[in-house]
Amino acid sequence: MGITELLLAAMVLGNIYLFLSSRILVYVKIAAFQGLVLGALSLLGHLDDMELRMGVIVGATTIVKGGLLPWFLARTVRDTGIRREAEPVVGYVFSSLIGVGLLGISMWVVGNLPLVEGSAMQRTVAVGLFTAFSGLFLCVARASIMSQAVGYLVLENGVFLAGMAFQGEAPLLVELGVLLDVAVAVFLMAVMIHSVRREFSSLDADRLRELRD
Amino acid sequence: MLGLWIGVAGMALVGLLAACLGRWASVSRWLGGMGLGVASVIAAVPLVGYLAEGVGAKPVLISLPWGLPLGCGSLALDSLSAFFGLLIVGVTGLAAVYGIAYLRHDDGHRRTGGTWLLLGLLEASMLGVVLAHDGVVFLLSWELMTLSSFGLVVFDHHLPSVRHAGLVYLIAGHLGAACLFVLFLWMANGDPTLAFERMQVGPWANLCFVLAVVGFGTKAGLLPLHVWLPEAHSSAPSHVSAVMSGVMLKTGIYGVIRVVSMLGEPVPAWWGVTLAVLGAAGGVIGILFALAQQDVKRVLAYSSVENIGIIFMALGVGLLGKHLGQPALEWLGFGAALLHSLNHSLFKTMLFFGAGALMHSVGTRQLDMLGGLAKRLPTLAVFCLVGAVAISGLPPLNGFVSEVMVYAGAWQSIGHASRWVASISVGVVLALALIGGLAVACFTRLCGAAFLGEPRSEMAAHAHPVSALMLVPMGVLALGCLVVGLGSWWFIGLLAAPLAAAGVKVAMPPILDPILHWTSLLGAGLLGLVLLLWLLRNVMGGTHEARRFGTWDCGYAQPTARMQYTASSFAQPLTDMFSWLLRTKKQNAEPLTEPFPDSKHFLSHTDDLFLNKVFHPAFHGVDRLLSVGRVLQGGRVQVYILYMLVTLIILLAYQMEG
Amino acid sequence: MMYERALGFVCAVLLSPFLLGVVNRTKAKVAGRKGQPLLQLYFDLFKLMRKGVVYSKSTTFLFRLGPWVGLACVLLALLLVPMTGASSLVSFGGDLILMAYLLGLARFFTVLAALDTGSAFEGMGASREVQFSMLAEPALFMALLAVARLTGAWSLSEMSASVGQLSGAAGVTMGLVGMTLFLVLLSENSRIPVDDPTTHLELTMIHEVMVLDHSGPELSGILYGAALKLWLFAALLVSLLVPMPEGHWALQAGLWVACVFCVAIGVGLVESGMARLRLVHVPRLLVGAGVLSLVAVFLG
Repeated sequence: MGITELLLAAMVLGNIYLFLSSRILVYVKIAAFQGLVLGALSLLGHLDDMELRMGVIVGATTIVKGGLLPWFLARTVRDTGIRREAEPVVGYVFSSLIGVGLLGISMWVVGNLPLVEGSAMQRTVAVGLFTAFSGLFLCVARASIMSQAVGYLVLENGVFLAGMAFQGEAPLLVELGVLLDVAVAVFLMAVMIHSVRREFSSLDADRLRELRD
Repeated sequence: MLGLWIGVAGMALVGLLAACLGRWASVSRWLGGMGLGVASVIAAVPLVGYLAEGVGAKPVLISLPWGLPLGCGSLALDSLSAFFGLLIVGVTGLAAVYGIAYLRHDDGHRRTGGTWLLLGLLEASMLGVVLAHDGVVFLLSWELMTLSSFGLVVFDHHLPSVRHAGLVYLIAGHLGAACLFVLFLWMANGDPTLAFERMQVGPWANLCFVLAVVGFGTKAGLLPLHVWLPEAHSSAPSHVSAVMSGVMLKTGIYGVIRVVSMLGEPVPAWWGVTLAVLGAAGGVIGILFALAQQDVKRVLAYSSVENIGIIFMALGVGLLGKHLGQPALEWLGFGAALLHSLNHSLFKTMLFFGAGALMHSVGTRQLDMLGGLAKRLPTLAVFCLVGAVAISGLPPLNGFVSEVMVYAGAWQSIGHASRWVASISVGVVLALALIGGLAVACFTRLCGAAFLGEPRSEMAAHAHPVSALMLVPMGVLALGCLVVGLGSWWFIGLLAAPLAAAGVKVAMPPILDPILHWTSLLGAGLLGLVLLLWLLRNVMGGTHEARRFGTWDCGYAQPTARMQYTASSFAQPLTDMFSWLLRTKKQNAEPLTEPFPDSKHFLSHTDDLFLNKVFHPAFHGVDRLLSVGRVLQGGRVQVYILYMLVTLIILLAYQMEG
Repeated sequence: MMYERALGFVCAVLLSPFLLGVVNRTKAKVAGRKGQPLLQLYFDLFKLMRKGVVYSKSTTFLFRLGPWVGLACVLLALLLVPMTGASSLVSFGGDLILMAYLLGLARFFTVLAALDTGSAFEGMGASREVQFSMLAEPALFMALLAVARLTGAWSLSEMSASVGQLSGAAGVTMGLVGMTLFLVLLSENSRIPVDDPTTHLELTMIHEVMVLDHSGPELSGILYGAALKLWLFAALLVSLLVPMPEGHWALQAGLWVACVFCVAIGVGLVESGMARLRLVHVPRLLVGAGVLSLVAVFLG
């Protein structure tokens, strides 16, 4: 068993924990953990053709994904005092079953892609897809804005992982662009969360509907 | 063969006689019950003889003198018919004997003679269904079966709830029958005799399969077509519920097996998948609803939905085996379906008898009003305990044997290369494990609330003793559960002939042999070990005298029976966990706030989700749609005559043109 | 051959009370206490066997029968579990289903014996027991299914014999299976974080509160049955996850027993390090265990 498989399994376990937990700080920690795992994975992928430019890119992504963004989110959690998800749209037990379904779907999708059966690439894409689905699900099924912000981060982790399977430089650069977008989005959201909290004294995304025309 | 005809004729005659003698209540009861019992035994003899011939037995064909333009009045006895026929006469015969005591309470209030006629007709028509060899005889028997059982369901027709249940049953029965009409006409392919052996399916096998599953599934209680079942089973007298749940549902299973064997090869993959998925859903959802019920008979009725689900799951596995060309899978699936049909007849009949005995003895079927009956009715408690262990699928009794066969089938295809086959197997194992855990919860709840602890009401505290005539049939069935459970290695050989008749042309897979042998052996070992430990404990342990005190209540000075955990509170963690499915309605659920509250009451009940959310809206929609046509029905005779006139003219004109 | 197979069963019958002693000693050491003697449970069993007994007036024969049915079921289930690196005494394809259902039968009678007292406490414990076991059972089956998919076997002994030959790629699956089995072990043996075996009367109690009214020889039967059950799950965990090296059977057996005691130490460490979960969170833990093994099935 390679280290790659172990790291991929860690990603999957992180996602499952995401479905079962109600604490927002746990969500943030998982996102950070996944960021670090991704860093390790991309480092492993580029061990043989490592050069300075690549090293900088990998290092930067790891720091941003595993450190900066989670830290920022964690601080927001602390400032706003929203520690746990009060009212999940979908119950935790049911969420985890949906999670298994999503894993099945992503494996089925990847099985139909023109990839080598049983290859590391296939596995990586499957886990990437599952992670992306998990992030989306978190956005859909949890009411708090904080969870949604973490959801985007997890979604981005998944996209990054899926992209990483097609090793090469260009995707990595594209990834970096996406990462910047997400970073900006998360920062914006965090700022907005502060304002929303001031205005509404609640962080239930449903209440944002009051803002519509 | 002669015995079969004498038996069938006897059923109708005895019923008729008992109905005529209704004025003399006890004569009518004894004549009806004993007569039906004897007729059943007479009919059973040739069936047993035929089954004993084994795989080599030739089908016996009989042609009735037939005057109708459709059909040919042909009957056939093969091993599959004999198997289901034996279930029918066995269970109905016992139910008739039980009914003698059960109906005694109505003596002097009203005449019950008619029920014997209906019961006799029900038994004869069920036999007709399994013996029919052409579509017309089949549908006639089917219709007679539905009507006679309807008559029995509305036994207590003075109650509005019973009338409603009867109506739901009648509608469901006829919608199902409508599918079967289309099915047989389609399969006959223009042949007016509708003989089974001449039926050809052609390219429409898929449509026929859907019609068969809907038509027979409605009768069998396959989710989501089960909605009539909880209503009808809880309304009918208990011995009738026992017959309906124990064997009448199985005619639906028989129908599916028969039609599938007539559809022949090739079997598309989605047939097996559909049955497995519907069965798994029915099993899990059925037992969940059973867990949430208050009424003992409704608990049992929903548990029938669960068991029918298991049978359909087994059929699904068998069809999948047929599709994949895996003989072991095919044999295990179909064999488990047959064996579980038999097992369910044994323990469900017994439990319905038990529910009836409880009702007569205590006067209520509400679980939260019962309690502590094991001390007053020990024999009944032991029989119900045996039934509960068997229906939960636990060793060493029979329920385990059929469930382990489904497990074995699913486990065989876990390693199958194709991912979807493996997924179906994983789903089947998952569903069975869930059903197993939930069934333990459901039946410990039933036994615990009814028989254990202290009586929760005055009625339960003064329960009347149960008549021996009610206990003897239960004892026979309990013995059956034990024999099938412990003798499964021998018993399984009897399934070969019915399976061959059902189109499963393969031998029993060798993997089953060690499981059954060891299950029987360890089951016997278990009984021995329990006995040994019990003896050891009584001989060696505890030199001191046993003392008796009240249950330890943590120092609370005045415990009452009302403080016990009730059936509702026992199930509450699970019903809350699945509240998104069960939709239990609660009244006055808000917690107490004031320090000295007034007296409060709390009410909760769980209605059928599918009846309320699917069928009621659908039927109301149809009602609204069709009410447009009511404009035509103005209520004036002149207008009606005008319609006739117009119709006449149009027809004449059409005829002229033609 | 037969002796080797019987050795594990004899170990289980003799050593299982010692296993609980190890768990308790581990907890005591971590907490900085001296702890009860390692052989405490043996003393307790012996004492209880000779003690008088008090039956509640509400109870029937079921209350007296329940503990013995429970004990007999666990004893028979132990016959099916491979131990000490050898096959189990009784081994056939499908034995894992019989094992799980024998434990189910034990639970059935324990629950009924609890309901027999009519006490609200024991009713509550019984209600929780059926809820949690209903979630633990699918998790157990999924874990065994994952191993079956990897090894192609469907008897516990075959599985245990062929885990040694698995390729490294199966490591992730087996890791997930191990986690599930450990969680099922904690839940089925009512250990922290699901249940707290040291308290009798808090409203969170499950197993201990069900046996509140039992005393004397019946209680000793229950305690012994519980010890055997812990041994059974620990044996399952070790036999399915730890491939035994080739060698003399005595060496294998020694190593195997050492592994079982390591599991006990692990249980003790978990109990020392964790708080009991809130009751409403327990289903999440058990469903999580089931999901883990379901993932293992998918990956395998």
